[in-house]
Amino acid sequence: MIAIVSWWLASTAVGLAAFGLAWRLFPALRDRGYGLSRALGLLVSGYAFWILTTTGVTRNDLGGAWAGALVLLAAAAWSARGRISEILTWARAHIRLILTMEGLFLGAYLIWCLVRAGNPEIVATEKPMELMFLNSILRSPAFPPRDAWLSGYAISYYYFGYILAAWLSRITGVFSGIAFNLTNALWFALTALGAASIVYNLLPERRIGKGLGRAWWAPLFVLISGNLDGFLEVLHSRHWFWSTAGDGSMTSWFWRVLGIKELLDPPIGPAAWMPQRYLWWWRASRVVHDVNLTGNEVEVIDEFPFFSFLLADNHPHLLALPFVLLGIGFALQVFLGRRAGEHRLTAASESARRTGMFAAAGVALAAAGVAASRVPLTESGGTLEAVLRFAVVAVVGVPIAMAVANLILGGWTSALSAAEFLPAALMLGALAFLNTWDFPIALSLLAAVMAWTLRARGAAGFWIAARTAIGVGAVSVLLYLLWYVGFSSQAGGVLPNLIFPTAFGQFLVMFAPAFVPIAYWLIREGMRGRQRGDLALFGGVMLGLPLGLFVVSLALGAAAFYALRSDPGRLGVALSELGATDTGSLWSGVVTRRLVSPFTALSLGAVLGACAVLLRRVMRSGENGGSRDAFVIILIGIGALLVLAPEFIYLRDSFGWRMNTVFKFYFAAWILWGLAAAWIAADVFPRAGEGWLRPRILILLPLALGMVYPVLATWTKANGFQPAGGLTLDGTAHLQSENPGEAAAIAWMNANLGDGVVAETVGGSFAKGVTGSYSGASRIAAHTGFPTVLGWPGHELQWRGGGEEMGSREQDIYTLYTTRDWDEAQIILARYGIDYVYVGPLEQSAYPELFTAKFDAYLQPVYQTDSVTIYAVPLEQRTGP
Amino acid sequence: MTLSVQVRTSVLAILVIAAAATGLRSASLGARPMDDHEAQVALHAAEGTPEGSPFWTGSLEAEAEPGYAALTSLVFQAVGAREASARAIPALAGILLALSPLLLREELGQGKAILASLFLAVSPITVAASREASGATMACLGLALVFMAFVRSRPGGADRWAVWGAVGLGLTLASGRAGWMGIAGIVMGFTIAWFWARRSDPAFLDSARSLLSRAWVAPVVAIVLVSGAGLTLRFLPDFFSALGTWMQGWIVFGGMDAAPALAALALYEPTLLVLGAAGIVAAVSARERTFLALAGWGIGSLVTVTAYSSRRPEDLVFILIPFSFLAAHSVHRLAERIQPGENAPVLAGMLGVLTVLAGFSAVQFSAYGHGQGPAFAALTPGTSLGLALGAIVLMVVVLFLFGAGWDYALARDAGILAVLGIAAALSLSALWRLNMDPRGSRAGELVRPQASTPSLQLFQRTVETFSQASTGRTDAMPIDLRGQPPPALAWALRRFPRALPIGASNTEQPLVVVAPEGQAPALGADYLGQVFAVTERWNWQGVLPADPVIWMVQRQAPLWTENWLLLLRADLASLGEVPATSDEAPAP
Repeated sequence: MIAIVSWWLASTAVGLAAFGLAWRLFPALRDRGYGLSRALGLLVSGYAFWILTTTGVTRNDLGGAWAGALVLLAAAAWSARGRISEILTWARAHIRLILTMEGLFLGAYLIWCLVRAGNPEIVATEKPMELMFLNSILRSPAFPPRDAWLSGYAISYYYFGYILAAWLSRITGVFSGIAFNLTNALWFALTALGAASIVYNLLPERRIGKGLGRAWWAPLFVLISGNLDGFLEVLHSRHWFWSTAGDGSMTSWFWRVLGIKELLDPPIGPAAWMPQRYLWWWRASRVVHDVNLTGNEVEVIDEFPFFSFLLADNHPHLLALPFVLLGIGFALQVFLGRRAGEHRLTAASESARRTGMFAAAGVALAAAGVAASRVPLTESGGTLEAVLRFAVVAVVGVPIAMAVANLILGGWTSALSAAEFLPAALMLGALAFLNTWDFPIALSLLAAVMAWTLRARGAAGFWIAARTAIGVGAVSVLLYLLWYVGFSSQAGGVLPNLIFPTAFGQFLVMFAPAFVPIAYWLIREGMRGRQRGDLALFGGVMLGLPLGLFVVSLALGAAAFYALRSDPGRLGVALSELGATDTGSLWSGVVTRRLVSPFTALSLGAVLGACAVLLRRVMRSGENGGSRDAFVIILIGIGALLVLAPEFIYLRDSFGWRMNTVFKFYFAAWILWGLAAAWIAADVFPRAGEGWLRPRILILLPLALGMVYPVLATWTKANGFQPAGGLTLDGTAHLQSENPGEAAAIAWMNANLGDGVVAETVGGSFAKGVTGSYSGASRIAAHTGFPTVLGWPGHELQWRGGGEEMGSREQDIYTLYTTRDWDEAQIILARYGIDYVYVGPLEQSAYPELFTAKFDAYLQPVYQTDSVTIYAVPLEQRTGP
Repeated sequence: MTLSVQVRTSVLAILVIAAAATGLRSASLGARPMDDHEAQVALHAAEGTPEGSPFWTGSLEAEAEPGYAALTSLVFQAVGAREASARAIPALAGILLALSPLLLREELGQGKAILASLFLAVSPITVAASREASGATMACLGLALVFMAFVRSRPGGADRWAVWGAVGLGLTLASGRAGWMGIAGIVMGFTIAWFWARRSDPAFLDSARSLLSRAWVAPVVAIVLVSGAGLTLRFLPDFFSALGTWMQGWIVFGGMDAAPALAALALYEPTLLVLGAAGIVAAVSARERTFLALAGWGIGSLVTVTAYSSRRPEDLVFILIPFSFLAAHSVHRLAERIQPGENAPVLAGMLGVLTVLAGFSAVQFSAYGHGQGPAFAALTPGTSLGLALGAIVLMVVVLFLFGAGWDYALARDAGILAVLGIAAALSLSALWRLNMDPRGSRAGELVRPQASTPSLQLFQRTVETFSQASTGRTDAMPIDLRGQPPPALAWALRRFPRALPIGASNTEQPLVVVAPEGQAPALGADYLGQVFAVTERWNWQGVLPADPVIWMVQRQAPLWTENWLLLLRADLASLGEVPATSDEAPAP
């Protein structure tokens, strides 16, 4: 209970402090950024904590955490100087707004604390990894934080969300097992408040009351609503649309057409309102279902916010949510503020500007040199690749660097003022560090909004918006440069999606709650006051964009297969993954698939076409930024582009197919469309005088169907709020009952051992019954933050884009535990600087050949119970024989 | 003529105070062995200097006192790391602190300023804190500057004093945990004072605003100090770590209990406590801005130190600074009030009687404390105690009868003066015992919950002697240290190289092995050993030891000692002579 209160208090204090900053940063917003100030405060203090600790100004301790808080306080005090009475006057006048926002935040926080308390265990899926990140950050003496699953290396991941959670954990003194679940609850509440704040600021004056008014729709559409899987699960569980054949087997055209895994199978057991299938709620994150040409299934992830919070994996896409909303809020501020594009960021002299530009060019050239130097020249073609890399980085980087320097030094005008520029870079840059995928999306939104607000200046306005966006992007990278230099991205270019168009039914199941109101609104607005040329524009975009992307996809595919022609082995693998026997059958499959299933792409093309038509109308009407509809149209358009893109292309990563691209793009689109749908519901719904039934049905019905999922899934996931271990937020408490020996050992390590590398089961091919990833392996490192030699190998592979750093660690640990040769063991101990060897139940079961006599003879047991022994490696044994 | 005499008297007084402050803070500064806390911060300061040692680098968690560490690091670079050099900066800060009230001669009046300076110069706990390797006295000096600036800065006028206040704040911020403690006390104090003064003195906040206008100077000064004016950046992270340590200290118990801390205030500083309390009453009733601020500061510091869970003895100085000013104020008021006129002989006689009784009582207490008194050898200790208490009762009775029979005002004045005399005697006794008497360096003192023993010095000298015998230098003999040494031991061994563990690249038996008592290592050669008590700490429950009178007189108290074993290889122990037998069991 104290932990719950302390986190609420800490976040509230941070929010109140940051309101001084928000007041200056969001002058055009009706709530002056109050609803976003908690996220802003967390970001500023977390950034200060991270950058000060990374540069060695502070340590990773409570002092460092307070330094972050002090920086926030100082920044807010500076920002609010001379405006305190103005802020207090505003607060008095808007007390109901403040109270309703605080009520929404507190309510969401407490409700989600209760949900987490119903299923708090930090087990399965990605939770052990996330607990490991949290404990690694808390345990690391300095930043960059160590990767506790790869001793000797820093984390190579977008880990800023874990920094923020660790900052809160440290400043409130709450231990990581509870902090893990409180992070989930707090982020849930931040998302609810952020969404409500944006819609509140978007609504016209007549739609708001003294409180949040109709902005309450926002948390429903963005956060609470699920996709239609929950509703379908009920239908399935009720045996609807199934018919029984004479032999007793059940068939269904409905479920077959829908093609959602597991729902294709006939229901088992008597009809029930509550779905009974084990982990039925999981299916909602996998409704989009790819099948290759031979009928093999290909996994695709389509999470949405409620599912992610319910699953409670504190993954980057979830941890980034409040800050994505902060970025959207800033874009709204830019949209609502009047822009002339005449800002100059600084007033440097001509000579200083020239010097700065040349210096920037020099830095870009140096960066090109660094990029080139990373190519191993010993490999065949290495020299050519190094030269090419240098040339490409230099050709792209030098002009950009000089342009950005010119912008910053006042040579060019900017769409943002000097007071906005740096905070914008800080907020958007954080998204790369939180969840890299969100950074380009948010930057695109900002660029689009800036271009829109400067549209009256024609091409010049577009150019100002473009260079401002490039400048913000470049400075964002500079602000987080110390993270970039240690980050190995797994992204490796763009690949074509040749044969996996999303089935329209599955698309609707996924997006109906927001898509239907949006489609209704677009049709209604499009039909109203039609103008000449609308149809041509609509049709051109609707058909042209998908077709253009299809051509791009074909070109990329043709190029890829042309390149593979000289490598029959890789060509065969590529074809077999797509289910094709040869290139001929592949191209025929490509065309067939697109002809059979074009509806998703065309629907999205239609949405984009409608957006184009409506935006042109607003432009022609001459309104100068006054119409808030334009912002909503931009949100809808970018959302549609995000959903459309993976129909034809995807980002190359370690998975090799579009799974992650769909996941991240759909998730972002859900947010944008959710905000748009909430605005539509709040603004349009009451205008139903023109016919009350249709709008109500089209807005309420999909939402109601989408609400089936959160109600039923929450009940199931939270164990009916009567979990076996009682309600608790301690995600590690389950260890006490499941494995008390190990729980005691972990507690002892946390209390008594200062630091050091620990050896424990790695899992994978060398361990019996313990898979590498998603297993109990590396649990000691996860629960303590002590670095282990190797954690989940598959994850390390993803994080680092290769296995070079892992080397032979997996086998070496197996050897360490099983060898009878002490010299061999000692070499391994010395190689990885191992300080402690952990022998627990998992080591005993995973390594049946376990030989501990050598440890007994040469190492010092510092902890010993019936089930666990921890050996300390004496100094003299760490140098090798 | 009168004026010139007064000037000369005040100059003389100032010189005497300066001499006393300097002498008390610098005499035998290195004689006392470093306690654990001192050793920790001094070792931290020595990191990166030629004093670096394999015994402690990276193995000790030092409390962050960055300002002290940065400045002391420079001292170490210049003159080497010794006990005295480790305490030089605090001693210097203590001298300046004692003289700081003289800056307010104009505002307070010459007499009060000199008295306040005198009180600070001879305050036992303040002197003891100035003789400790820590950042606390720097923080006190910084806060004193802040207060001076508060009194002297004039809104709208020249802001020279506002800048000095910010410099003081910077010095305090740089001082680490103690600095944050002091800031909390003064902020609470000024808030209390503003609450008192809000109606009678609406301009009270103007001075504070004037200070705040230059507050930005404070972090700059702090960073300059912490970085040794840019010469070292190693202590920069300590700046914030100290804040974290202090914040954590509110919820984590890590220091002395509140009751012994307050008892120490009463027993070591009775003069300042009595006169300071009277000063608070006077200040609140008079509502004069400067003394109201001092009263608030005193109360704020008292509350902060009482409420804080991880208090340390030197935190008491934050209370004593305002109390010194308030005590000077009280003395001044008393001097104005006690005007016996023609009753002066009577008052003197009365005081004489009380002094004799007090002296008699003190002798009897001493007799009890020592088991028997030198002049009353026939009496049992219990009788001595009874006589001592009887003398006190008699003093009260005499005062009452004198008041009833002659003049209550005179009896009251005599009583006040007698109480002040006794308090002054106790304070001076505490001053001497705590800072000059070697017995005062032990953990028997209330303000030393932990101390190093004289045998630690003996230990150090023994090792140096054998090092001289085996290597020709007093600091060149490799020592095989087993286990994590307490910081004081690490400090004592800081100059010696560490012997490589057997089995790595070294097969030779070490000359000297140092290990915790009870963990004697299994060694292959013959060794001779000796157990040394290296540190000691309180081993009693409650405010005072079981017999407070004996403790008062002799500072005898139950102590817990940490013993370490010094093992010397037999050939070295005999300085080259072969031991008599080789099959003797290894020592101890």
